[in-house]
Amino acid sequence: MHATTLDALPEVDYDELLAPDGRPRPPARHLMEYLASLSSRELKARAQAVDAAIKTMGITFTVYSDGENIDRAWPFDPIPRVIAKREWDRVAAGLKQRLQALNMFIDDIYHEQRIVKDKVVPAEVLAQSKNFRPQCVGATPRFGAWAHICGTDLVRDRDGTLYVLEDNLRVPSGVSYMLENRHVMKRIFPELFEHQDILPVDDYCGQLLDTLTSLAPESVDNPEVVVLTPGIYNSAYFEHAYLAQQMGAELVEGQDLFVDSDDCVYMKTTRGPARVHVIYRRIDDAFLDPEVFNPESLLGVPGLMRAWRAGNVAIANAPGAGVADDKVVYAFVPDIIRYYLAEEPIIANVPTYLCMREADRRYVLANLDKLVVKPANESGGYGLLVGPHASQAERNRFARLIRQDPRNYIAQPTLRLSTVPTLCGSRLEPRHVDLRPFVLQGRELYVTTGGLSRVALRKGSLVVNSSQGGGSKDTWVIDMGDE
Amino acid sequence: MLSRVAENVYWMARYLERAEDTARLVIASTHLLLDLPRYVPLSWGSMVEILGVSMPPELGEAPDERGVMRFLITDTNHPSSLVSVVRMAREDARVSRDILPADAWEAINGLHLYVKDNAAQAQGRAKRLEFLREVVLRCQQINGVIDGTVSRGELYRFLMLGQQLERADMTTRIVDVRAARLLPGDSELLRPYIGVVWMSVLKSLSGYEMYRHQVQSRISGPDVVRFLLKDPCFPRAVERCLRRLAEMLEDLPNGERALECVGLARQRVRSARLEPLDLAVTHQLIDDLQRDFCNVHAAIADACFRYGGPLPQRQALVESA
Repeated sequence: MHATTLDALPEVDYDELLAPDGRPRPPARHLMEYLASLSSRELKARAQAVDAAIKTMGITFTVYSDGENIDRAWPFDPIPRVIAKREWDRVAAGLKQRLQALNMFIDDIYHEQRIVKDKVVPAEVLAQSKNFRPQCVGATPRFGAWAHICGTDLVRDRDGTLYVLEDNLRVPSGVSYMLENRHVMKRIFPELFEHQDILPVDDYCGQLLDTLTSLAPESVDNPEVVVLTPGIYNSAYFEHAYLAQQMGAELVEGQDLFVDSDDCVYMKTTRGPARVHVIYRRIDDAFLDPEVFNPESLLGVPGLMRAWRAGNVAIANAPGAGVADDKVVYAFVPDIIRYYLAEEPIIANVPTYLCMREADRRYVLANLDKLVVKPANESGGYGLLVGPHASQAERNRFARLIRQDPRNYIAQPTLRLSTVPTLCGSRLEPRHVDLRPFVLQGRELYVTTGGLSRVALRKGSLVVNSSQGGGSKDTWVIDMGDE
Repeated sequence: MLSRVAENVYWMARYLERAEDTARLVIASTHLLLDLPRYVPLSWGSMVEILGVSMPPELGEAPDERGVMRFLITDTNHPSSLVSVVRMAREDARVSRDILPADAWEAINGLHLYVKDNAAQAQGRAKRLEFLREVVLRCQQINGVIDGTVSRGELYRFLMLGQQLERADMTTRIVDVRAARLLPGDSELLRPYIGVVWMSVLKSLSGYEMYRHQVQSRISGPDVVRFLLKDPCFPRAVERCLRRLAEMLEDLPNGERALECVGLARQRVRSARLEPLDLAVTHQLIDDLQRDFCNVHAAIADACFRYGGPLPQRQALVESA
């Protein structure tokens, strides 16, 4: 049997590479022909080479287990996900539209709240938002941009439609893996890049640096940009170091910075204090500044909010940007786009039931076995209920939770995530994927070419998070010329 | 450069040098012990002594090969074991990844993975020697990558400070412990083998060939000690390491105090009278030198790592001898 013979595709799923008749979709044709030319043994040897490369390149993520943190090799599947450029151009336009509208929304929320006064978003949505920061009211980040780096999760349902599943506007991670995945693929499968136009991805770090630099206080000629990490025990530490290295920025911890009496931020160097103009922070709001937020925080910098409000330092993403990263606000994004941009949304939202609305709540409680229920403010796939896979006891528990705190829960129909053939042992089997492109907004808007494809490695699983048994794949946007 | 990062790369270089020196010492000592008859009082335990750590009681009065090797190579509870120092070097590299060339990181990470996967299998002598030789080669590869790819700026300077200080320290330790066993009157039994033992001292510092070139006569104790302490050209000679340290310190912000300490140590080495070789004199000299090294370290830390606050506690490799 040949390595690339797939088990018959389950009819309900949409496969990204194969049409329902089992033939490759046009942008995946070269890839599938190439895979068909490899014997199982050759494919397995390449997969081992991939693992070895990941190990020596030190591409890792950190997990906590039994109170210890373990540095694990990044789980990577060598079969890429392929997207035609024509489709991608539309998606990219939709992502820019979305982030632009979200930034206008955040800026409005911290100023006049026109959108609430005009009754497009109900006041109680904000009143109960855990990520609304009163300390940010009236602040004016440059270009009205609060969320400068956004990781948007996209999924494709069985009918082939791409939906936005969530907008991550706090400290989204994963972009370094997107970049490293491509390096690994080029190292192990160089011949695949010879005969087709796979668009490059490594522009990202340059774009990120440009975006960050554009945020610096206006009077500065050569802004000093730093990446602020909580430190080596953070699960995304690899990424923090990677991005700092690629941008040539200092990787700092809270203890390396201080705010002086002039309300400016400085870092402690071997040659004394050095002024910092832009902070790409990878720690949550709550830990940023112990004077303003969590007083117990050792990760942050006392006085940082003061310096930010005085306009002496830019913080990306701005404190408080998370107000739009809330699954209840999510339900209003199509209205938000229409309100601020007077345009129709280009990419659809997943239909969402808000448990705070009585009619919705009644429907959700009656259909828990069909729905996915999510808490409004969690990320990383934690604390959610996948109704069709859950036990009756689990569903009862969620029913109680929803009744206790309806504002904190939303529900969506269970999507059949699309699949991509994935190497399991020495054969290919379909596994579910999502896609996280990264969108930047400073002086200008930018979208990565493709994004990070995450794959649920367990058969039938829909959970793609790396902390919960997910892996990743390279993502190719292919320019097929006139097609 | 951030003070914290400067401290990390300084320690990374110290740990890497420590790993290489430990591997080399064990290789040379294993060869030596094979050459000597069993009644000669050179013991496996002397290696533990050279590395300046206290012997764990569970190894007993006269520790055997197996116990000492486990302690020095694979024991993860012992902070100076080869496995431990390589792991710490790698941790320091991991937190400094943003400023290290990717090749350097990959080489250090590769060393760590190699040691982690192979140390336990290195039990028999043949396997062990092969393992240690690979460690030395990988350390040299790392030094090569650093030499070939790191700009001669602050990063390089802190790497070299760590490396040279650790190296000078190790050379003095080897001279101290081995000389104590070899000096006249110490052991009649050892007399016929004295040439072999001094040769081993040179080999544990990879200095045999260079010594031969420099000193074209029979191997003699005073000549070996003079070469290892005073030679201005041999990379592992104390004088040479101190000169490199002085060069690196010249451009260091607030480096004056450290430079003074290095000057003092150089003065001490130059004026030392090593002929005839006297155990008490040599021992005193080396004691003084090691105190100088501690002062150099403290001065660098004060000037560059501390930034007004206390230093985080580090496993001090330099314990007083």
